[in-house]
This record gives sequence, C-alpha cells and structure tokens, in this order.
Amino acid sequence: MLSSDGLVKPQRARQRAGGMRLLRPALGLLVPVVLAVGWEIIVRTGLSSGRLVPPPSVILSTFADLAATGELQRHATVTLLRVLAGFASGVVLGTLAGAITGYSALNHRLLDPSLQGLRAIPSIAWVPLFILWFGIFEASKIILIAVGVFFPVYLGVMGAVRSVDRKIVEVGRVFRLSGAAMVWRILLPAIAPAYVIALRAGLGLGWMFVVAAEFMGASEGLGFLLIDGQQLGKPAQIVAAIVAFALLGKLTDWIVASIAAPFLRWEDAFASR
Amino acid sequence: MLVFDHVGKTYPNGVRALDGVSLEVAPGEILVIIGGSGCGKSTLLRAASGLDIATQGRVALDGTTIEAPHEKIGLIFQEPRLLPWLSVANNVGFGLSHLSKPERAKRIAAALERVGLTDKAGVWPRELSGGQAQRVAIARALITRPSVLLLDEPFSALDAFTRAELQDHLLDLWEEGRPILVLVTHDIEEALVLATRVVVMRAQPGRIAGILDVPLPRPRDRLSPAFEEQKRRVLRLFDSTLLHRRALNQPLHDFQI
Repeated sequence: MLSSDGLVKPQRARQRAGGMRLLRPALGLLVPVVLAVGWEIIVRTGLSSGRLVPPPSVILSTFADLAATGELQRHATVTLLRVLAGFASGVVLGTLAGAITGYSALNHRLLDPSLQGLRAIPSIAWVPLFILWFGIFEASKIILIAVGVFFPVYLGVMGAVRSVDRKIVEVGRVFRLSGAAMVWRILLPAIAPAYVIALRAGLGLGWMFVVAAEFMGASEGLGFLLIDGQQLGKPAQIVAAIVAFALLGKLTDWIVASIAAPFLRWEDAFASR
Repeated sequence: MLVFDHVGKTYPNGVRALDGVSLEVAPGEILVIIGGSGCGKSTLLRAASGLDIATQGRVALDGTTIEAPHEKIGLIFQEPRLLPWLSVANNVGFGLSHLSKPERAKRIAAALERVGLTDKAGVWPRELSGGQAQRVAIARALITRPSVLLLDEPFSALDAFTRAELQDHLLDLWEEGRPILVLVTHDIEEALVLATRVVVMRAQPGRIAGILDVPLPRPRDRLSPAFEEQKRRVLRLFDSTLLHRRALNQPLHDFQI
C-alpha cells in the first residue's frame, strides 16, 4: 500500500476493510454450503443412494410439503407453547429463588445446598416420576421443561446478586434506599447483563427438554415428528423437524436478546467495541 | 455541629483501628484528617457516614447520634462509584427520586452547570475521564444539599493537575452553602489548600496526634512562604508520630510527605 512517494494511503486501506466487513458473516456460511452442495452432487451422481442421509433438496421438499399441509405449523405451535409455558414458570421460580438466596447469607446457607443437590440430578431422570405424579399429558411435560429452565436461571441470578459490587451497594445505603428500592434501583440493574445470559441459557435448555418431554409420549409436537420419522423410516422428516427446532431456537433466542439489548447499552464491554 | 465523642472502633478480630477520638466540627468548617495508612482516618469517616458504626463512643450531628446513613450527611468515596447503567444526569439526580420530574430535572441541570458538565448530561459514566467522573460524584452528593459532606481521599486517584483543579472547584462549591466538610487525605499540600483545621493522626491504635489551625487567607498560594511554614508545622507533628512509632519499635509505614 505504498504510493510512489512512499506514503501510506489510508483511504484505500479503509475501503478494503469495508469490503471485508461485508464478507465476514458470509465466511461462516462457506463450510455448511460446501458440505450441502457436495452431498447433493454425490447423491445426484449416484455415488450414494442418500436413503439414510437425504440430500438438501429432499429435506427442503419434505419441509415444504409439511408446511403446505399445515402439519409443520401445528406441531411447531404445540412445541413452542410448551417451551413458552415451561420457560415462563422456570424463569419466575428461578429468579425468585435466586434473588432470595443471593440477597441473604442465611437463606443461602439454608437453601442453596438443597437446590445444588437437586441440580446435580440429570433432569431427564425425573421423567418416570413426573409421569407417575403428573400423568402423561401436558402437565408433566411443562414441569420437566420448567425444571430444566429453573437451574441455569437460579444459578445465574443467585451468583450475580451475590457478586454485586459492595461499593455500588454502599452508594444505595448512603442515599438511604429501602430494601425494595435497593433491589429495584441497584441490584436488578447491576445483575441485568448476567440475567440476560441466564435467561438465554435457560431458554436453550428449555428447547432441549421439550424434545425429551415429547419423547415421553406425545401425539403432537416437533418431538413427535422426530419419533414418527424414526418409526416410519423417514429420515427427511427427522431432519426437517431438526431444522424447525434450529430455526425456532434461534428465533426465540434472538427475541430475548433484542428485548434485553436496550437495557444493556450502558455496558462497557470487551465485545461492544 | 458534628461531634466525635470518644469514638473507638475494634474489629471482630480484636484489632483496634481507632481509639478515643474526640473532635467538634463547627458549621462552615473544613476539617482535613491526615495520616499514614492504617491510622484509622477512613474508619473515622465511615463512622461519621453511618455506613459503619463505632464500637465505642458516638458520632452525633446536632445532637442526633449517627447510627445509619443520614439525609443531611453526604459521602464521596475515593472512586466516583457512579452507577454505570444511569446517564450522567440520572446519576446526579439519584438522591432526588422523591421529587417531581420537572423539579428534579431543574435541580440536575443546575448541579451539572455548577460542576461544568452540562454537555455531558446524556452520556454514560464510562465515557467520562477520571476527573469528570469525580465531579459528577461531587454533584450527586451536593444535590441533596447536605449540611455535612464527608470525603474519603476523593482526589487521590487523579493526576496532579486534575487534583489541583478539583480542589479549587470543591472550594468554590463549598463557598455556596458552606456545609461542614470533613476530608480525609494523605497529601499534606491538599490538606493545607483546603483546611481550616488539620487533624494529624497516628496509628496503632488510630489516635489524634495533634490538631493545627490553618490561618492562611484564601485563595491560598501553594508557593508562598506562609504556606511552606504551615507545611513545616504539619511535618513536625508527623515527626513526633514517627518517634512514637520508633519508641514502639514497630515497622514504619511510608508516609506520603
């Protein structure tokens, strides 16, 4: 980038950087696109039958067929509603439990060991018991999802409240904030960044547990589509359901992140440069 | 009148940080407490703020014992301690949440103007320099119009130029309402620029080594012979605290003199 007089030309350097910025997200697509196109070519040329691993075109047409008949929307809606119900109750309980154990050392000593003990149990292990207790219908599914969401939210809130800077809390004390005002004006904003991460982790687990819950025996839902595809030997339907999970998971995560973003603009973070 | 009445502080581990400190600070006075590290000067200030409670004796403002933070007592820390999620304006107005919105906005605007940061009203605290952030902290503490303002080494984290600027600024602000100022520092020059009286403390346990009136007229000239003379008086008092330590055969702390 040296011109004839030996000086660097920053203008051109900046243009190149601008071009790279547009290309950068596209770079991440390179590997999956090459793999998909490659597999499509291998199946089309007859090198593989593609019976167990359907090529992208078959998955796409299966997806389109399911969508056209309204099947996909029906199953996706059922699954989404289960996740939302489980997520909402898990978040409310996890936030309350986290705030209670985070705020007072006594509560922490009293409750945290039990909750950590419960957390150590793989949540799927509850399934047989939940079916005995709550039946095989919606209640046991939503409770399982709520349990999955509860722990990351609890852990995130409890840890964040306990690690709020004592110096900031002292500012609240100097201004003689009441207990409620201290929570509302100091603790909640202080834990907001960690809380959003806990919510997103909880939502991720919610999507994980809805699959387990629907494996428990469901007649509707994307998890049912998976099992149905396995039993009837329709791998394209399984992959189509997986794609639907991926899209919905990404979409709901994006919604949570976007709702939270305006509350976190103050952050002086490494990543926000 | 802010009264320290035989104030002592013994920590649960048995360490006596402060022992029998008695002082009376009159309205309009700037009392500067100076001493090396570990002499209990911050402990004394925190006892006056109500954030910590003395284990012996008491601190009282106009006859009321301070047992918790008091609405007439403001406190400024060594760090600005601004709330990072609030804009500069909302940080300044933090203590005014009981007021109506227009009234609050008016007071915030006036406070920001007094500290010369009107143009920073809408920015986040992270965008301020160290000196600007500490000025916001001062505005936040003064906006509730306290009759006592406590400052715990408020300028020690700043560079020499900013420190001198903020010392002058603090004096200007003090002139407006003349609250009691109690300022803790380890910087003798800072003490003599600001103080009407200087309290020199010595450590183990924290006690008053001596109290000096500072008769210099304001504004004070840091280079004048009279200023130098006052400095020597403080240093002489410090020497006596050093002799006291040697007598106790205890390791010396580095005094910042």
